[in-house]
Amino acid sequence: MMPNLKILHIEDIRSDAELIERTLKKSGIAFEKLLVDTKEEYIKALDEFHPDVILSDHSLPAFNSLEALKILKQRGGNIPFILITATVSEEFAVNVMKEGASDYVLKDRLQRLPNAVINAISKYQSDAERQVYLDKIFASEALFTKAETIAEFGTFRVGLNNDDISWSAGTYILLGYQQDEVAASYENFLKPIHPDDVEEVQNIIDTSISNAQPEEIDFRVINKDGSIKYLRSQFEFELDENGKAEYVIGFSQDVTREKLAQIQVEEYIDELKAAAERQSAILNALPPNIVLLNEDAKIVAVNDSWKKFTLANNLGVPRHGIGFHYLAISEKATGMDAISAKKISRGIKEVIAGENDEFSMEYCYYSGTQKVWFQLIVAPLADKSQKGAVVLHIDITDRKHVEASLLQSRANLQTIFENTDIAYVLCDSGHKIVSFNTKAYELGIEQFGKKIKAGGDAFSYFPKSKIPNLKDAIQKVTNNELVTYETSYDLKDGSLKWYEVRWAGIANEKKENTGFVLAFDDITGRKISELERDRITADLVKRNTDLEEFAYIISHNLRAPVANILGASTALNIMELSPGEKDKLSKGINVSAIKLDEVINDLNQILQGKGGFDDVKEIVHFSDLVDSVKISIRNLIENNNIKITYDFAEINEFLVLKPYLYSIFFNLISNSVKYRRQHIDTVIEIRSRLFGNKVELTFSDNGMGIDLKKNGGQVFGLYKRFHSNIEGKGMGLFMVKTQVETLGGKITVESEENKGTEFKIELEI
Amino acid sequence: MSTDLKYVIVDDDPFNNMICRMVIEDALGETEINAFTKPEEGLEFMKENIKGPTVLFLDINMPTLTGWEFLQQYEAFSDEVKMNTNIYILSSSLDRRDKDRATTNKYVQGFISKPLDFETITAIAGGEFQD
Repeated sequence: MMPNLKILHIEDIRSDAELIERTLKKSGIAFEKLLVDTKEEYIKALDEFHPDVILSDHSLPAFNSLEALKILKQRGGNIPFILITATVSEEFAVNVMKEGASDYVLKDRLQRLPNAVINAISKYQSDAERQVYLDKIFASEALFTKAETIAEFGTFRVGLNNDDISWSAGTYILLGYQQDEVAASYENFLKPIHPDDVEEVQNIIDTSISNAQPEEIDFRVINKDGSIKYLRSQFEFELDENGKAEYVIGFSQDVTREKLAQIQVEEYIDELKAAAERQSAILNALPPNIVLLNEDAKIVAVNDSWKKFTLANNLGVPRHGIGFHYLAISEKATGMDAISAKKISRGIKEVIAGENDEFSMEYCYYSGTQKVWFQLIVAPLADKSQKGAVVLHIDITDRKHVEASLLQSRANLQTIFENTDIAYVLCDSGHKIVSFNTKAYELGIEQFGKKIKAGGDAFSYFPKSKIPNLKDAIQKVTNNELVTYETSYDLKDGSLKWYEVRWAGIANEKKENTGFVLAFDDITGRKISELERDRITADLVKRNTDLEEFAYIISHNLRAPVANILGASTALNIMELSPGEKDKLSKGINVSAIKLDEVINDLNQILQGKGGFDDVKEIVHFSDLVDSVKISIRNLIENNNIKITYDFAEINEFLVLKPYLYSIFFNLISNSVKYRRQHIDTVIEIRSRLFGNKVELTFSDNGMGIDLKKNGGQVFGLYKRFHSNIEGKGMGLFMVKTQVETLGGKITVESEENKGTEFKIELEI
Repeated sequence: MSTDLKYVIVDDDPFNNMICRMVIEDALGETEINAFTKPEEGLEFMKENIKGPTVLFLDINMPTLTGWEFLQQYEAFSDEVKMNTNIYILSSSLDRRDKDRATTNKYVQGFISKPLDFETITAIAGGEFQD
């Protein structure tokens, strides 16, 4: 049942009002009615009564229906308004309807009123419902547009046989357009698409349309700001009654975030893949066999080296042993002995159980005929989430060979070290002895009377006198200089041992000195022959000098008397001479001939003296020699009052070739007599002194002396004479020197003119 | 032959000096000859007494002063002495070194091997001496 209809009735004539109420009641409409006849009452009733329908008389005293209708419109009231009037023109009625009245009813045809009210109300009801519906539609369209914007999607519909194209607001936004900026068209759709994608998009669309098959494409759009947007479009087809495609309906959405995320994920995956590949490449490039074990010591992963190893050893297990128990395989592979296998098994268990940080052992076996060495290292997996171990097999065969050859070469070196004739002592930088060979040990005992010990101070074996030299040598050796010298040591038996000593620094890879090697090479044999050679050379030089001297003697001293004889005899033959002159010449010839003879005798004496090595040494008393000389020149001594004294208290006896020593004494004493100073008493003193194993004989006089500044170099020269007024051949001192030297001694002279002369002779006992 | 030429002989061997004197006089007749057996005395004489052309025969091997030492002292003599003197080494030496040393000395005219003979003195006196 309909609820009570609220009717607002505008009427100033009461009878008319009652008539209308009756008519309505008669029709069975339930209603309540408010009657108003002024404008004020009407407005109040609209506000308070909320009528469902308004019935209005046309003309009232201060009010009319048009005005009422206007007020209703102004207030937005959506209430059916039915005009009830007595008389009305057709024109007026149309006018009122235009103004918004729903219907009009003539007073004399009131029987139509109920239907008019019901129609008006139901029309108004459907109008209102329509309005609500429309409002909803409008609201949902705004919502849709907003949703498109938020969800970043858009729709479109394209007629295939006409130009009927529509894009939703979202589509515009997705393509980067302002709404209605451009016409919706295929060209404008393609325009913002990334040039690289345009062709593909066109192809897919073309194929899709020709097959009328739904399709989905992803493509890129370049925004006005240059940024890139990824879109995904799906489209389907609306078919006509013949099943032919008539419209394309599409749905596009912005998948940029998804795409970017996907690209990023792909990049991550690529990176992960690359990292994994790198790691396995590293593992595969490593020469050791690497095997990854799980908790149960079963193989879970292997590297290439292991794969090669399994192939090379013909293990015959599938998947390179992955999934198999490690020990079973390695025992099979290596044929290792039970003890090693047990050790390894325990090692792996301990590492996996975390009882040990690492297990390592070396083992060897025969691969065919070749002995190969491996080092096995077991380390726990670094990854704490996983239990297990990494097993490395490193082929150390080469290293073992090197070690073996090192040992061999060390042994070889040791053999050389021990079998050389050279004594070697190896010291550290603090000159502590590190090592030495047997030869060095023997040398220590022989030379220093000490046993060389490793750890001892090298200096402590040397005599103190040699230490400054050693320090100097070490200084040089520290600077990587090589020090070489020859040195001699006295042996207990009095003989001399010669060594060539070499010091060589030992430097490490950084060229820092870490010590030195001291090498003693016994060169006594060589040294003796060297000394012998030196002596022979000196002897030869001396003989050569002598020869030159003889040549000189022959050219001068032998020639002088010959020239005189020649001159004189020529004169005798060709000149007319007085008897006196003839006599002088013949006497002169005689004198020259005697001189010639003397020179020849001298030469003979010298030559004999030089060659006289065969004579036998005998004990001579110096005092006896002096006495003999004194007797031989007795007359001279006595006539000239010459005093000869001697002092041989220190040493008087001497084992010597007596004729030589006699000749020396004779010549020196007779020289002192010969070159004495006149008018003073001549004193000649002779004495002997003992210096170690040497005898020094001194002959001094107070005679004329020799000017040594002028003649020093010639004192002992043959036929050198320094005094023209005294008979002499310049032979005596030459003979003395020759004889002293023959006896292995040496002679020196000191002299001052008019004071005296002193000769010193040194002879070895 | 110039009779103006005077002769000085310095040699420690008196017999040689005698032979020289006899050979010179035999070849040139009476001539002024001064002979010295002590070279020091010969130097002394030379220093003061050379007023005209003079020939000096000088020995090398002498005990107190050798011929070379003689020449060293001679070097200090006046130009008059040196201009007037022709020096010849007169030596018994056969040693080539002595001859070489003589011929390289600027005051020495030549080296004569003893004994001095007729031909040599004649050549020297005639200024035709060839070493």
